[in-house]
This record gives sequence, C-alpha cells and structure tokens, in this order.
Amino acid sequence: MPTTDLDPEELLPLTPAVFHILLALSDGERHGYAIMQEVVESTGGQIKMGPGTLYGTIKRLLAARLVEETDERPDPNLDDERRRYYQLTALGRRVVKAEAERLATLVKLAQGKRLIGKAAHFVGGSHV
Amino acid sequence: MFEPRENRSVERSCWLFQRLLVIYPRVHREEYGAAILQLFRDQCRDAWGRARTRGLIGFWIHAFADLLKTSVLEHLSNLNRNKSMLKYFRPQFTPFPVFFRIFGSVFLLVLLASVIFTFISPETYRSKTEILVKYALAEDTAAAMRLPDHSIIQVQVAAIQSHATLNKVSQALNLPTVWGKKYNGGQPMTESEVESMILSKLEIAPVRNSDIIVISAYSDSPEEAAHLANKVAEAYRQIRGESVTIVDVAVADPRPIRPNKPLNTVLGAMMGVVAGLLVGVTGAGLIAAAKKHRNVSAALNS
Repeated sequence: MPTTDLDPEELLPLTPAVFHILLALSDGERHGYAIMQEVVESTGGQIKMGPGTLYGTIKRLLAARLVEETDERPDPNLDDERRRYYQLTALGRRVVKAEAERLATLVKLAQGKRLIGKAAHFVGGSHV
Repeated sequence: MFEPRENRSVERSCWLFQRLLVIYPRVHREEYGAAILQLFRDQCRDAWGRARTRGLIGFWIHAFADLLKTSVLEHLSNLNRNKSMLKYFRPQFTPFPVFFRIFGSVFLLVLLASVIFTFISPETYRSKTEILVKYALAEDTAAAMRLPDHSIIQVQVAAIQSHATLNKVSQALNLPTVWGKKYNGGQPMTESEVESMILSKLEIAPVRNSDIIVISAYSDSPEEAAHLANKVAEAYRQIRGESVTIVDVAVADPRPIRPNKPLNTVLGAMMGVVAGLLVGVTGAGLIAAAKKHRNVSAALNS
C-alpha cells in the first residue's frame, strides 16, 4: 500500500493512546518500556497504558504503517536484545503533526471563547 | 542461596502473568507475548520500587483489567481479520440469481424451440374405416386347422397390404399421376413407388376379440386420408367378395392428429425445466468456481 499517497487527515482524530505513542516516538526510536515512561512523564501520570494496550496499539500502528520496527540498538552492550524498538514512519510523522495541529486549532478555538487562558496546560486533550 | 524479596515478588508476578497471556489469540501471543511480558516485568519493578507490595498490588489490578480488555479486543480483531480473509475464498456473488437467470433462459429457449417446431411442422390427418371379415367355410376350416385365431387375422392384415389390394387403390385414385404431381415434380410415379407410399400412409390393426379390422390412412389432407382409407377397404372387399363388409366408412376429419400442439407445448415445458436445471446448476457452479479462482489468485497476488 503506497503510504505517501495517504492523506493524514483521513486518520484523524487519533485516540489518546495512539497520539501519545506517536508523540513519544517523535523524538526518535524507543522500545515499549521507554514509550510507556515517556507517556507517563509527559502526561504527569495522567495516562497509564497497560502492556496489552501498548502492544495492541503498536500492532495497529504497524499495520497502518505509522510506525515501523527497527533492528538498530542505541547501544547493544547496554540493552536487552529482547527489546523491540519502534520508530515513526514518514506517514506517522505527518499524521502526528496533523493531529497536533488539529488539537492546537481546538485550543485556539477554546481560547477565543475564553474557556481557557493562553497559558493553560493541556495534557492528552484533557485540561489539567 | 537467598533470593531478594523484590526478585521473588516480581518473578512470581511474571510467572503468573505469563500464564494469563494464554487468553490472547495465539497469533497475537506468539507475536507480542514476549514483549508484553517484558514490559510487564519492567512495570512490576517500577511498581515495587514505588510502594513495594502495595504498589505491586495496585499495578496488578491495572494490568489485569488491561489484560482482560485487550484480550477481548484482540479476539474481535482476529475474528474480523479472519472474516476479511474468508471473503477471498467465498464466491463473490449470490449463486441463486445466477442460477435462476440461466434456468430461465434455457427454459424459455427450449419452450420456444418446442413451440416453433410444433407450429411449423406439417399437419397430418387421419381417417379410419372398419371392415368385418367373414371367413368362407372351406378356407376357415383349413385356416382353423393350421393357424391360431390371431394368425388368421394377421393373414387378413397382410392381404390388405398386398400388391393386389394396393394396385387396385392406386388405379382407382390415379395415384401415380396425382402423387407424381405432388411428390415427384410432376412426373408420374411408378406402381412400386406408389404402393410403398400407400403402405407408409396406412395403419391396419385388428380389433381384439372380434373379426373387425381398422384401416387408418394418414395424409397431409383430410380428404385424401378419407379417400385412401375407403378405397383400401373397398379394394379388399372387391377381392374378398361377400366375406368382407364395410361397417364404418371413413370421413374427412379436419382436426390434425399431428402435431399435438397442447401435448407438445407441455412436453416442451417439461424438457425446458429439465434442461434449465441441468444447465443452471452446471453453469452457476462453473461461474462460482471461476470467480473463486480469480479471487484466490487476486488474494495471493495482493
């Protein structure tokens, strides 16, 4: 399936789990546990995914070709070789960017209606 | 050797969780089971590090709920994927409409052919006359001594179809000329040709348990059929004299006996049903097989 022809808008909106996994991978490749830690840290512990949810979501992201598994290890001597690393595809990057822009538009809309202040902090679509 | 309490608790949790992974679909378990267990182990250590046993229990509640929820989702996903694969191996059309289209076409075709054949076939008329044969005493005695009754009748039937009788008929009706114009391009027919043709137009049958013989004549003209039957009876009576009595004179019947239009139409419809069933079932099966072959090829090439 040619992924370059796919319009990212067609995949929006993303579920919170998908968005946070893609967001965690936007900095570079990560294994499952690292993705989990990144999500917990970035959301202040608001979003906690179980192992089944994380890998079920990754499985669907792989099928949708938003992420791909990579064989490279940052440091093979320091890492468990059983860990599986994932990284964003070009399509995945376009999709997470489109979702972020969509959320930003919503934030601006809410700000315009004075529902939230300009300095409001958003986590995972929830106002904290 | 003393094992640290953290390791024991985490390892026991992992041991139990690994067995619980069996509730996932086998494909998912084989693909992601090890990774899920590895992540579970990492999270167990974090939970133990945060709040020891209490943290581990809290994590277990969260992980177990997650396991139940995602196993249901994976089974549903697996089911849908199996269904989507199955479509490649199922005929992508409903066979009944195809069958009925073929059946209907063949049925109408056979019925139409039957009706056309029936209505363009030349009509044949039949006329019948009946003669009563009385045997002369000497002849009867000799015949009765040598032959059974039905054989005596057969002798009479043969005599009616003899050259002597047929020649009289031919001469009386001027058939060499008449039939020569009709069947021989205007050229007179020979006596033998005429007699053969008379025989082909005659049907002579004795009536059971009686001395009556029925002479039936067939022709494309009802009048000719009646003349032919009457002349055969008359010629045989002339040969046999008083021993033959014409008990029923043939009259021209305007209703043709062939073709039997209602019967042929019903038979055509019945043949249409049979042919439609055979061709419909075979055709629908072949189309289904061809579509299945194309779908499987498409699936394998995709």
